[in-house]
Amino acid sequence: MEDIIRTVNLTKQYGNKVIVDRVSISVKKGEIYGFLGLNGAGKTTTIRALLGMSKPSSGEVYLFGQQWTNGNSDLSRRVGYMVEVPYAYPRFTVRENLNLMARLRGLPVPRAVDDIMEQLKLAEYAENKAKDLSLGNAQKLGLAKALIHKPDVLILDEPTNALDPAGIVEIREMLKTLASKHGVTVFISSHILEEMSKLASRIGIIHKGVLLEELTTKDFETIRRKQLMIGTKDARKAQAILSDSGYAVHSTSNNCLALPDDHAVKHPEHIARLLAHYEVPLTMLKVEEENLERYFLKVIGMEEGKTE
Amino acid sequence: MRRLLTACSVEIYKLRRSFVLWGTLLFIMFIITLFLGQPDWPSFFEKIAFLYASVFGLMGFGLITSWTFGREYSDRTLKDLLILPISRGNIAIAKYNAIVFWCFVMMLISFAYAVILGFVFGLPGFSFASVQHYLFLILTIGALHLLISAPLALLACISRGYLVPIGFAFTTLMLALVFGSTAIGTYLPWSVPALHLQESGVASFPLAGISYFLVFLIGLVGFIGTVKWLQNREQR
Repeated sequence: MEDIIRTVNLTKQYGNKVIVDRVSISVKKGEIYGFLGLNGAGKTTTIRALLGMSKPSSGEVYLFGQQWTNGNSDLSRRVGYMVEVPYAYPRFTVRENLNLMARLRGLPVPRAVDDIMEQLKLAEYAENKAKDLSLGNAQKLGLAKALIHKPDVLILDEPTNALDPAGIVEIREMLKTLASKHGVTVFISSHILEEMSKLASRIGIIHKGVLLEELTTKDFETIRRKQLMIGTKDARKAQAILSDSGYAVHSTSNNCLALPDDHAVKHPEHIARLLAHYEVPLTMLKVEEENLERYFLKVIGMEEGKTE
Repeated sequence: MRRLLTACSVEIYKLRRSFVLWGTLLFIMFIITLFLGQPDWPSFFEKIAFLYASVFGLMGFGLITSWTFGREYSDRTLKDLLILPISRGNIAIAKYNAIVFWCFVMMLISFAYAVILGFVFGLPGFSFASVQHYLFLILTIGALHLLISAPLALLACISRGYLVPIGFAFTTLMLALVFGSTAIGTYLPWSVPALHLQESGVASFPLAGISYFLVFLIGLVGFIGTVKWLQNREQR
């Protein structure tokens, strides 16, 4: 399938400081690519290079197979973006802000504006000034500006940052629909890791400018660590029984027992039977999966709550 | 060309909806009202022309130029413009066009206001010839000021806001007032509009061809510098 976004050894440095170090990414048509990284990891710098707002120190950026340079209006027309906090002309209304964008993009006004306001449920705020919008609605206005021309590629930096839970679900569903039904390619960075795991079809983890790992959500399901969590009335006795039976077991802070053993995870009924045999009543038995946040911290070499 | 025209109309609209434009016009009209107590029409027009050659031009046009370019940084909307399918050069040209358009509109409105005001208060010595003469003079001075204002756009881009260029415009006003009446004034672009006004009377230090050339040069440097800055500079 065609690579819509491709970077080849993309490097950006300011003076001696390397911000993005030989990052090679390729994103295919209709894919939602999640770009994960801590603050200062190089996400926004990469996105700026993808948008042609920043010239790579070395390496190349391709969109639709064409090398991206400033002023390539054919490519600009096919790209929608929202970088960091979306800003608009504060004294202009939502409608005025969108009218300006539509006119500059050569779209029919007011049809394009009405359509996008309806799609993003912004119509009721049409006459509100941008400075009076809530953070969530300002974010939606930013998205509306990114989507108004129905782009083939959407590049979004933290698009769900200020949205409430309902807004997050709304945007997630909309992006999924755009990708699956309209073939829109989405490149998205976010610090809401769980949100990313629900949305992205592929995830790239960047740390200190280096792309550490790329995995599909299917890969992630496979490789993320699972463990069997057990709650009992007598944790000490249960631990002794399980240890004697050859299971690696450790107690957790909430007085539960955790068994990372593959056999225990795949056959929790064996554990239940074993403890019942020794008359240790179970209060909880569940398979807990490592979340993306923990996996992410593990990949970048940090444990939760600790620095390197 | 169509894209450039669209960008021009958008910039003209943005400036029309800006309080800076109408605030500046109100200020100009207020000051004109204060200078009403002149003995006749020519003296009244002379004062208005001098105000345009100094405060209105350097500060008023300077403020509008600084705002038009600087607001994109203070409102953080510049990146929206830079990613559009319109070249950065065209965006700069569109902004300059909007500034020129509204500054000329401001001059025409304020001149019309002055004429109405003069009639209402019954100033003596009205003639169409003097109206024509002073209107042309004010528009010429305005054109010189628009050239002088061009570097303010570059300063707004470099400083990423409108405060530095406004500060610079104020400094140039001070320089023009201090050095305008000395031999240096001939070579100081910011004092050229005021000296151009005095050319009709007796000037101690007359303007030379180089004076107008310097105004043109500074305008060209400001314009090309702004376009190049937007085109080449890494935009954050």
